[in-house]
Amino acid sequence: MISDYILLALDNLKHRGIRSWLTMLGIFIGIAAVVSLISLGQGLQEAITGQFASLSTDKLTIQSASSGYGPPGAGAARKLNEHDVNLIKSVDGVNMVVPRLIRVGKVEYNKVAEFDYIASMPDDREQIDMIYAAINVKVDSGRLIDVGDRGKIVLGSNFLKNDNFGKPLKTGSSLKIQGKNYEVVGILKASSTMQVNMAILMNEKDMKDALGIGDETDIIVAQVENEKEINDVASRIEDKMRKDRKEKKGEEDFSVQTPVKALGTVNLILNIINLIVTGIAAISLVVGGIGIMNTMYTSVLERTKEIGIMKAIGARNSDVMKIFLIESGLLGLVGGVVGAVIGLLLAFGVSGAANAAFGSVILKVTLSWPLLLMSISFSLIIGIVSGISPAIQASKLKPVDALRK
Amino acid sequence: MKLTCYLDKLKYCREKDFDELGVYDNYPIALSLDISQGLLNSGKYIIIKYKERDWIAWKEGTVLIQYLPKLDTMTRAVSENLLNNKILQVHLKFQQEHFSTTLFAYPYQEKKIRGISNHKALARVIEDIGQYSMNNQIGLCLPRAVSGDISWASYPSHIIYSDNLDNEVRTLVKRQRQKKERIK
Repeated sequence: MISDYILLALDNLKHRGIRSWLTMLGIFIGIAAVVSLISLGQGLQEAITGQFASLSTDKLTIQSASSGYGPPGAGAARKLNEHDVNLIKSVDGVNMVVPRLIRVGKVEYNKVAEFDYIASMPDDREQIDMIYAAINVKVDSGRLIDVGDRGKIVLGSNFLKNDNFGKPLKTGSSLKIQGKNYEVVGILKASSTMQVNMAILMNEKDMKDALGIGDETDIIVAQVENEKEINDVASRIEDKMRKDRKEKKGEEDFSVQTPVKALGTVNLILNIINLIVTGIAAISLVVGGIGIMNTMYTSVLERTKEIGIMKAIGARNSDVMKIFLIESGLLGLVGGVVGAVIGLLLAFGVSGAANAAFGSVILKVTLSWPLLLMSISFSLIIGIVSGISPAIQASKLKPVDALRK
Repeated sequence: MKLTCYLDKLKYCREKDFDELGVYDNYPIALSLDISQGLLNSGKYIIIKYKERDWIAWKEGTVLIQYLPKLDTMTRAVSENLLNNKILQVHLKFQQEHFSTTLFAYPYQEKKIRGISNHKALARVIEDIGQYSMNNQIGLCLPRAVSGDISWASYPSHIIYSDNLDNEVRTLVKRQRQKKERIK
């Protein structure tokens, strides 16, 4: 009966004790890497997809083609301006257009200075409501920036958590930005968007004054009338801006991002990362498989007498083969199960640590049963395949020769 | 199953049914007495050189026989618990206690019996040795006489030709069954 073979194989694995566990190490590492990284990757992908789906299905983002790092539009050869805002407003299907500034500015508090992201908030009721809905922020203390709020700012959650200024910031504190004082009227709750957690929100006019910005804008958010037509509206905006700037298709110095396009890009990057991670883990699994094969070959050599005796008491070649295959399969299976558990623990650990460090739920773990089952099945298959050759060798041993060795 | 019954089955077995009767490479025959000289004296067997070793060979061809005396290894295997598994330990102990020698039959002789398959040739030798042990009242055990896996239930299906051992085997099987039920 197969249960007898399994008991027999288990006895043998137990008998080898620590060597069995060491053999499974390669499998542990491989499966743990696959399970943890893919679980985190899927969680990240789901979180990003969710964000796009819930917040931006009716909004387009227009920005200058950037030539370097930094906030949107930083280093762009030709910046967006009021003329572009009016041009986009005139496009068919566009409901509302909000220009926004996102810059880095010098921030001082308690005689300590640092450079932080500053984001503008429009000075218009409809527009400010649209931006708040899009970035989905909630206050931890105080209130949000409102229309006509001059000399006031709202801080992202990181300002509350970090002790960069050596003195805690709170609602009512006064912060110097580019040499001018601003009153903190609210501090935001941790958001799933890292940039929001790091930024200072201030009135658009205040920001232009503080940073000496003229007729420039960094990004333009366009809300469409009908979200089903978002791609058509995006094409119309592209056509109009291209015509206005006298540019050829494919040589534009601006980009119009639809949520689907942006999501596609993010998903592509995440899929590439997942693929690379899976490849690296596969190498580890192959190494683990070779480890199992090596152990099984050693086992055949060590157990020639045992094999001979088994045959002397009636075991067939197929019995011996089954025992060795079940043993190697069990090494793979146990390795897979333990690896999967370690992988999940790692994923939850990394996710917890990352979320605690960033102060927001940026890394979620997705528990995928198909992934777990596939990983465990794969390691079982690796175990069995690695055991085939040693099992054949063991089964072919002649009992008398084996006993004389 | 009685030995006579098994030998009859071997005689009239169709090619596809040999596996059912356990007739397969490395066929072990445990005996309570070394019969190698007796086999050679019968004129049906000869000594041949094969792969630089002396083998007892079925004179007609195909089958080679290797003779395994009650080696130290078997005794040591029992005393040192070389087999980790309890099922195998019981089988081994039984065989080691009651039989002094084991023969293994292989179908590897270069000279082949024309028109006779390896299985059929093996069956003929098993039948001959079985008959020899009956004629000479020698205890015999065919641990692989029937198909199936090694398990607690294997013993009732072993062919054991020895009046003295009959009762002992029954007691052993009964004990193993009780043990198994207790485990359950």
